[in-house]
Amino acid sequence: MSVLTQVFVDDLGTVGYNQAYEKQIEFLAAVSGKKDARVLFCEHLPVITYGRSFRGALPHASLGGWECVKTDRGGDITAHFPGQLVAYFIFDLKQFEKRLVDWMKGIQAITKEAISDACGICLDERPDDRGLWKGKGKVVSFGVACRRWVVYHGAAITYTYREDVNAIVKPCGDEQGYFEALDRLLGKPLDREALKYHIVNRFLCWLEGL
Amino acid sequence: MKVYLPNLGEDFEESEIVEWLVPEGGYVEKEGDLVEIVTDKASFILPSPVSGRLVKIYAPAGGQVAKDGLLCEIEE
Repeated sequence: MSVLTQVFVDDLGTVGYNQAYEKQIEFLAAVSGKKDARVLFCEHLPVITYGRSFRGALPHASLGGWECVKTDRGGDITAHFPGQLVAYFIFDLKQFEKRLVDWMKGIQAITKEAISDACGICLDERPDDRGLWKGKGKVVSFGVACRRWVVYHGAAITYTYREDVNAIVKPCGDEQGYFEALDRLLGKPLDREALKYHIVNRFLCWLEGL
Repeated sequence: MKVYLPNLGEDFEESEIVEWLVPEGGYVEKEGDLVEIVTDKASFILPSPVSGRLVKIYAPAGGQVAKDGLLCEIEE
């Protein structure tokens, strides 16, 4: 079993996409070759990001204040906005004796279990895609990057429903899909701090193979 | 030395080569960025296992490479 040395947790609050990205790159260098892990929480000012797997057409330029950013994570197109908790996980796979596929499965399991722990909602998985849904509504999107065996980027969890987001972009370009939110499923606001706590807790358990 | 796609996991049967970060004929340091690959919802930059000159790319950008597939050859 691996032995965890240190996990650092930060919450940047609501920030621009590039500000959080630069923080990730800073942490990427800090954890490389070490048995340390970072969890960086934030919410982004309205931004549409498209990853390395994106092949479609970008939304029309008239986005009313939405920034559009090409990024280096895997995956397709998505949106980030206030009301969506973003959890970036940064750690060296080799130090924890994990493979990339382990992390792709792990991040999905961690997030699903943490949401269930925090509010009792059990989200759906799909056999042919990464993400967490309730029906056609996508609640959680994943996108990961790995450089010199250090993973970064992570999960975006929509906890406050916003109609305006669905008018602008479909998650991963799925024309039948839409951004669903935990508060709408729950019928009341979600405790954001509780969700953060359970994400870190599940992440620690996963790292330690528990 | 021939460089193969490392074992990223049993689920990743095929991956896409996005971009070679070193051109044919170029020099790469050990652990330096060699090639960017996307698979599933992850992008992955493979570090070079050795220092040397990249003499041949077998898996060009835009193409697919199978698990354990031959990527390139590096002359140490």
